[in-house]
Amino acid sequence: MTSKKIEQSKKEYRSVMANKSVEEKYETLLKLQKITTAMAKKRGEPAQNPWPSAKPKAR
Amino acid sequence: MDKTLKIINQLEAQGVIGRYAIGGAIAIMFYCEPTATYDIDIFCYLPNQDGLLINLGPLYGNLLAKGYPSEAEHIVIEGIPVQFLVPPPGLIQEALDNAVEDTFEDVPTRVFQYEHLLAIMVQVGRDKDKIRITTSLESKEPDQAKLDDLLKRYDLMDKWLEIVSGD
Repeated sequence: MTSKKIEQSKKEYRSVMANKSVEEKYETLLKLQKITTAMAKKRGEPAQNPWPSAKPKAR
Repeated sequence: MDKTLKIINQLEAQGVIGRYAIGGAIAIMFYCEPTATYDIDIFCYLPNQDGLLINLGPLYGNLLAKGYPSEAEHIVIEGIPVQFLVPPPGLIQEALDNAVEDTFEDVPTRVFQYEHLLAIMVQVGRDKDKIRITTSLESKEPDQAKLDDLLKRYDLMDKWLEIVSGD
């Protein structure tokens, strides 16, 4: 994949993400926090605690 | 985060804080893709403030009585660090006054408008703000007329053009 195509793909992803509900984006944020925390711990750096998960809602 | 917002709504209803709104990275999440952050910025007015010094004591005391301790500049409410900030006069105060109603998990809240968030990031101008502006614009187009008005009134147009041109 060329760098131009990668950039285009990132832009499309961002646009798709932006249109999701804030609750769905929150779940993505929690995943980002878990990854960031795990990476910091692996590097031996101070790590912050990920936030609690949102309560699952009955649909 | 819904439980955290419920507590903040209680604080406003009880008059412990005045009008409040979410700013910072969590506010951007309402409009764009999320970016990693570990705190919520709550901008609010504080009642009964005399003089130049801001007294967060009553707010911290109220939350401590509810079982929410402070950690450095944050108060951890339902597992989420919250930073309460009193808006300085100018752009941020305007952002708070014009924040829009929204909901999270059916809990009502208020969020800075997207154009105010972009203008604030220009004004603050840290490297991470510049990156966030670029990624935000790839997520969502602002109301350009509204943004231009803010950038002109707060003398930020040159900085904005510098950031979006990548110079």
